[in-house]
Amino acid sequence: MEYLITQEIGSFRKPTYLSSKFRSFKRDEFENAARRATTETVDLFRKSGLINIGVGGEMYRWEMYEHPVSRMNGIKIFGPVRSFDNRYYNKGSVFGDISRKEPFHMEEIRLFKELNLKNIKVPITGPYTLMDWSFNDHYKDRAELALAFGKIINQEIRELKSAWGDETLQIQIDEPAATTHPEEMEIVLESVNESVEGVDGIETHLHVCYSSDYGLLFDIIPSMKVSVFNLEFANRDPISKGEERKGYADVKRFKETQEVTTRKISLGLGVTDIHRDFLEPPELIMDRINYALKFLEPDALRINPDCGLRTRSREVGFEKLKNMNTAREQVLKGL
Amino acid sequence: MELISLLYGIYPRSENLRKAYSKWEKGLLSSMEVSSIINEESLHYYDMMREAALNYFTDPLFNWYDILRPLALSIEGVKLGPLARYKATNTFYREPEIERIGKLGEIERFKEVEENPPFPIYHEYASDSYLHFLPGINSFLKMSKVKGDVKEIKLGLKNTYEEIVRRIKIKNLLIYEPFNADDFRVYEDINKSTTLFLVINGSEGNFELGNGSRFFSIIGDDPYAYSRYCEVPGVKVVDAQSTKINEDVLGKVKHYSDDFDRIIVANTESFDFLPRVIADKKIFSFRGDE
Repeated sequence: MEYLITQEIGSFRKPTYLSSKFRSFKRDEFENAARRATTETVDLFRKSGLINIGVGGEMYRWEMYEHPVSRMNGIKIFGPVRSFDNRYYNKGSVFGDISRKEPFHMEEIRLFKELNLKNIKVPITGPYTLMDWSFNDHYKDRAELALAFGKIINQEIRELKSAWGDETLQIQIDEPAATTHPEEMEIVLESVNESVEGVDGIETHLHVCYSSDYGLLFDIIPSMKVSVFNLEFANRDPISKGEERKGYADVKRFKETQEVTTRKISLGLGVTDIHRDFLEPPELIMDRINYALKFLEPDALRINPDCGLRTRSREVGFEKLKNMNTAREQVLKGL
Repeated sequence: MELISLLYGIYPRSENLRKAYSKWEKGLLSSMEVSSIINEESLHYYDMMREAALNYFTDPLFNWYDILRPLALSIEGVKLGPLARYKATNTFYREPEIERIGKLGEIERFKEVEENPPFPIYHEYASDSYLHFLPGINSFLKMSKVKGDVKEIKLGLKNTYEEIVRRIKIKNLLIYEPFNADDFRVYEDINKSTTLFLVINGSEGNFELGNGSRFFSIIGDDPYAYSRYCEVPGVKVVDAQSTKINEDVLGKVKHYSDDFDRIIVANTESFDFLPRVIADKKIFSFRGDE
């Protein structure tokens, strides 16, 4: 049993040769560039010491919402909608029954199979977030739409698993919107469960970040068909060593949730902030890991950045991952 | 019953303006150049409002990065904090951090400001249909981190709003309270010098005004709740969270015709939540008689 497995969350900054022409490549040119970028990023991850390499930084995807919804029927994108300042995202309008037009992430699975790379984790945007970020001009209510997205994701996961073969496949359902409507946690629960219903041979992770109240999530964890919860903490923690680790107060609440959950659940601990270039020194990351180990067993704790590292340069992203792995090794020596 | 149409809030930017801001943020366009584009885009918006025959519309606020930003940047003692989620949406604003309400800076003319496109904060249009826009004082406080004395800060904001009304010589003003408000008396003095349209959240609350005080219009979810406090009640019916174009506005309001001679029909939220192409079509759905 490996302790304190290090993993990334999903995205990593794309090399310029890929990002600058991402939407204008011809199909075969895109495949070559995305493949090259993935293998280069996997190499980088390996050099940093990372154990789980995800899907090599999501080089086949521009972003997490448009990628899946543009591969579905029943949704139309009319144009960009503002997120903040002058930043926009393409928000889809659900105008009819939704179904999958084509797979979302099969290229990544095929590439990793071909390269015989193990220890991967496939991030998939979750049904609740897809619902929350879409206009609903068709389904009766938000619950019905979230469930419809859940069924599509279930189909996707089944095919990914089938292509992957007999070995366990790690799937990470990304739900950044999970706790934004406290009254809808039941919808989060049901739609996430629908996404993995009846799929064997997978280890399911859930990633939630920048929540104002993880307690909402902890309340539904006992009924959720998810084994690993990868959460963000570093962003809310002081950067000096020897602090009380205020940003990690929820680890104790996770422990309490673990105690009332009848199956084994683990925590993916966000130890590096993806919104700043500051390189958390290994000592600070060790401090954070050791704090979490006061509450959790080392086989129920994984180590990761708060969120995808696409927000930082490749150089800074690499250094952050390297420090994370150095810290892990140091902590392991003391166990 | 007469239907009076009103569109308020930030209007979605065109591709042209988005690209201009992108260049401006990278230093490839000067503030003067981007200011000229904001002007052109605002004029085009006013043409569209005229074509859609809207009775009232606010400034499109094309250079407001969020509904608080230009004010937060113009008041001494207020700083911009981190990004915060706007209600339960996927839209974010910079949370003001208020220590005190000091002097109001220049807002009327061209001026470069940090972390927001250049001023003036309004791009006015000479028409009785044009409304200046201000975020509600109650919501301003709820959306901010208030580090000083709340009562003092609220009084300071009230005085600042009155100064804005005086300086800009505002005649028609729309104040938008996106969060539940608990103090409407704070607008009584502004109401004396302007024709005041108040857009509120919800339909219940502790609405108190001084003797005889009435606003021109209060626009909420239930026009009955506040009709005695205004001359023309209003209702938010044109859905800013749906891309359906043909909304049955008439069907949504005709049951009020037994009780009101006139009613204002408005949007549920800023159209900035919609893609521009949808907003441009939706402005024609306000007039239920068409």
